[in-house]
Amino acid sequence: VPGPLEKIRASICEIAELYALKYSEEFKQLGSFVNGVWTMLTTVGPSGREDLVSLIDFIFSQS
Amino acid sequence: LPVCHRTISSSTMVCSPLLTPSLDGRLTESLPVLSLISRWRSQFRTDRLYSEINFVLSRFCQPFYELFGHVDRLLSTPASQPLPPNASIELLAQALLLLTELFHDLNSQDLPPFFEEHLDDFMGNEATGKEGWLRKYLSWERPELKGDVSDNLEFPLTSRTMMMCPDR
Repeated sequence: VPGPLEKIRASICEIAELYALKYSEEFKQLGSFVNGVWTMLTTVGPSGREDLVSLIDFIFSQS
Repeated sequence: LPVCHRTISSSTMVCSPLLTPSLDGRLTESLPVLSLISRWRSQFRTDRLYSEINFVLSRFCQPFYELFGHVDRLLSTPASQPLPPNASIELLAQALLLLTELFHDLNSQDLPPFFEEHLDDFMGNEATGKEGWLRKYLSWERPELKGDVSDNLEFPLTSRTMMMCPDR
């Protein structure tokens, strides 16, 4: 069951995804966000990890 | 925060100041504007939608920004210092989640000039050393706010994300 912390992170990940997709010119901080998601990989369980890898893959494919 | 709603008899919008940036639990209960704004993500671009968005943005951005800063300051309270009465980390985290969801809604159709001007405050700026609220809370750690990790933790991406990546 996700707690508030996971929900906040997921919400911020979706914002990063939105910005990578629609506002990539302005979103110079994308690399920093990808780093943050990358670091998160070491702290979540296996099923969460798959979603995060998909997300990173998706964000990179847009940039 | 101002509260906006569409009157039943016409298409005009009415806004009234209802909430000051205080955090005693009213925040999540009394924001009719949420239901209005949350529809924006999935709506098609029309002139009517854009005039609605511009109307709300013109009244909503500054108090939203100030509330975000206020919640951030409270969440950054050192453990040795007490939070204000009626505030708790759980309640503040709930407010933060609401603010990030609102941020997504407000930015979903177009990048509003207000957010472009304040991009460093939300996203950070390595050159100036500004951390950025969203970047900060992406890597924020509060063990007491974590879910049940023993239960094969699901990372709660929404179905919207999955729809955008149907082959995954």
